[in-house]
Amino acid sequence: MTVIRLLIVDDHPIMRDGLRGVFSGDPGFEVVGEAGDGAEAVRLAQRVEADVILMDLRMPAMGGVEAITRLRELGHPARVLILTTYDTDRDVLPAIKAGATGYLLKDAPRDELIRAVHAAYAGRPVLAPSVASALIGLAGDRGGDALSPREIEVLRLVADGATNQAAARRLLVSETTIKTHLLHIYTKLGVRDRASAVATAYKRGLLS
Amino acid sequence: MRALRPQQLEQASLPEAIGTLARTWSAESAIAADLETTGTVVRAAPGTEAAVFRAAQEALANVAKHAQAAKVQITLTYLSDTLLLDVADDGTGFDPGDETGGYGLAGMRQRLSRVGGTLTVESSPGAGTILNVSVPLAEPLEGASR
Repeated sequence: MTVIRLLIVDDHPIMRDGLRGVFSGDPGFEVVGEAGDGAEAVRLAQRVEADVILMDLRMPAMGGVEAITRLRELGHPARVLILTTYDTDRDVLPAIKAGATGYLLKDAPRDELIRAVHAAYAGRPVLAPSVASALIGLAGDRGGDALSPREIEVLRLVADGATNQAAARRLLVSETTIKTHLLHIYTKLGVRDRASAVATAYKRGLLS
Repeated sequence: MRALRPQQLEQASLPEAIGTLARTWSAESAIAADLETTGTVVRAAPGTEAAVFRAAQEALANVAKHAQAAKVQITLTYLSDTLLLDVADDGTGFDPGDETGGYGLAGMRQRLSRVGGTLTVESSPGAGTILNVSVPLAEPLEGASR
C-alpha cells in the first residue's frame, strides 16, 4: 500500500497538531514535516520529499500563494492542498492560479480531508463546495473563468492591433460592447489593461 | 400605460422574439437584417426583456424612417451579468450631439433606466449608426434558465 507523505504548513501550532492527529492515526499517511510559514515550507519541502503539502494561506513572513509559486519555480512535484479559513475569491483565485491542486476549508470534516488528500495525491482537483461557488460566482462571472468564443474573437482583434473602434466595426457592434467585452476579459484573466490581456492570453495558449 | 410584457415574448425567448421582429421588419422595409446571438441565453426578468425588445423595435423603426440603410446587423450578447443589444446600420448616420428627440431616444432611455439599463448611440454623418442597449442580468429565475 502506498503511503502518502504529508507536509503540514500552518502558523498555528494547535492546527498543526490537530492535522497531525488526523493523519498519524491512518497507516496510509506519513507526516514527514511541519512548517510555520511559507518560507520554511519551501525549505523543508526540498528536504523531505513530501507528496502532498497541506498549506495554510495567510501566514507571517511568506503566505501560501507565494510558497506555492516558489515550489513551482523550483519544479517541486508535491501537490498542494490549501487548507484555510477563507473562501472569498480574493483568496481562492490566486491560490488556484499559483498551482494549488485543491482548496479546502478548515471546517471540513475529517473524512473529507482524508479523501481530499487522496484526490490531491492522484492529481485530481478538490474544491470545498463554498469555494466552488465562490469561483463560479466570481465577479458576476457565472460561466467560470474561461473566455467565451466571442471574447477570444475580440481579444484576437485587439492582439492584431485593432482599436476599440476598429474591433467594433469589424464585428458590427458598438464600441460600448467591445469595451464591455474587454472588461469581462480583464476580470477573467486577472489583468488591468489590453496589453497584459493579450500577453496573458498568449501565455495561456488562448491565442496563437 | 403599455403592457409590461410584449405579446411576442409570451411564447418565445428574447432572441427568438427579436429574430421574428427582424424578419417581419426586413420584409416590410426591404432592408436586410441579420441577428447574431452570442453567449449563453438566459431568461432575464420580464421587465428587462420587455425593455430590450421595445428598444429593438424602436431602433429598427428609426432605421427604416431615417437611416436609408441597406443592411442592419442586430447582435444580442449574453454575458454573465449583462445583456447587450446592438443595432448597427450602414445608413446615413447623424451627429449624436444633435439628438433632436425625434428618434424616441429619450423614451427608450427612460424605459431602460427603470430596469437599470443604459442606451448609447454611436454615429457620425456618413458612417451609419450603432445603437447599444446594456441591461444588467439578475440571477436567473429558478427553472427558467435555458
